[in-house]
Amino acid sequence: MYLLSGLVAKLEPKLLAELKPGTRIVAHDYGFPKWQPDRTVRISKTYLLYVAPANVAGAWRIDAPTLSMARGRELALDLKQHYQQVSGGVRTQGGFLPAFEARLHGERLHFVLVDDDRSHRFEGTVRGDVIEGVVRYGYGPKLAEEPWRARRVMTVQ
Amino acid sequence: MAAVLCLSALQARAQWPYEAPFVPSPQVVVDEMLRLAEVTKDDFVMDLGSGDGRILITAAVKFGARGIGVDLDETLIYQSEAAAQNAGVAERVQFLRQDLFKTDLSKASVITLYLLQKMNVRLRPHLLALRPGTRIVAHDFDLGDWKPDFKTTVRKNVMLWIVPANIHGHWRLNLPLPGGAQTWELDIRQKYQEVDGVVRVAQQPPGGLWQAQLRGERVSFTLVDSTDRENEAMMYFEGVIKGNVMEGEMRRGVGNKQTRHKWRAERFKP
Repeated sequence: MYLLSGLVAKLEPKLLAELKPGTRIVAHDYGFPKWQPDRTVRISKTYLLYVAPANVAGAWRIDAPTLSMARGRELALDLKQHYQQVSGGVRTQGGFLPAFEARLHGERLHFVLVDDDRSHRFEGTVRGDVIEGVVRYGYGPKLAEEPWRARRVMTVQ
Repeated sequence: MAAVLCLSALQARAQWPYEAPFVPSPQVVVDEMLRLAEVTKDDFVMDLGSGDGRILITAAVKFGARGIGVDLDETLIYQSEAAAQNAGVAERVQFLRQDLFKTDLSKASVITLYLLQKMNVRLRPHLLALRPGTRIVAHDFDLGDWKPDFKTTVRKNVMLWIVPANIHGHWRLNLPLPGGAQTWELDIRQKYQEVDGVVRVAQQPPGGLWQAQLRGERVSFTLVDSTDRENEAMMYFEGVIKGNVMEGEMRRGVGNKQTRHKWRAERFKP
């Protein structure tokens, strides 16, 4: 799109509501006022790339057997979202594991939990109220992966 | 106990103004440093201020690397050697009691640091003199105005720097263009891995060197073909710098009209 900034701002809610997650929006010179571009390129002019993010905000139940406190049970995963920027973490009885490096690229969600002094790198695909993917842990030649899954129990506006 | 530690730290400081206190890094942060540096069994890791040896021992146990750790504290050196023995990697790692500023770093493919900012900055010229492509990882304390190439936050801030090749100066670029071969001039300025510059084409105003990126000896940048006013084709350059020569491949245009060409540039003035 190549529109003036007022129009771009007006168009934003429509794009976010109607576009499929992962749809790429390219603009030059005038970007969205609050939505940070996923990529910026400067070649004489400024080009901006936005990737329509999936909706992940809300309360989830996560089934991730690699986490030490899971013991076969689901844990509470809370996610907040500002466009493609995600924050939150896993609530446990004893405390809270913050989600590090949380990122959303279209419908691909990525975050890292540190449990038992080890990192667990979660990657998954968001489809409506379900996220499915793999969690990687361990390092070097001993890298291992397991499936994980989450289901949304409450959405947040 | 605390008083004893304090006293010994004070004594150490009196002898050596750049002593950093020994504060062990959490294991997950050590793991992240080595993962960010993509350490493999082919790497030689030098840990400057090796403390209890955990970074180097982790590099050997989990990533299969070899290396040397340097520290001033003799007790920590003994402790590290014992820990390496216990972990079964005593053959692959070595701990030396010596001044890191006087240590030959040229063998390293990866340098790990957990020093105070002041020491990092003092070490910076030594690090910049290393072979282009050498990786440096640190956590918490950065290298001053040399910005990290990659950064990740897992419990703490972990940063990676890649020693950049020297690209500063004036280059003559040989370009095979549809209308015949051309020679353009590139004036490139460099601050660490940050690069900008201009391109000079005969009978044209200077143009920009766009999207320039330098990672070790690998370089990429974009020029606009100003000799063809109608198309103003983008030219995406990628190449490798070896001394006063850089060369590689250039993609001209976009989409299914894109063509590939070899390119080469020679530095004629530093």
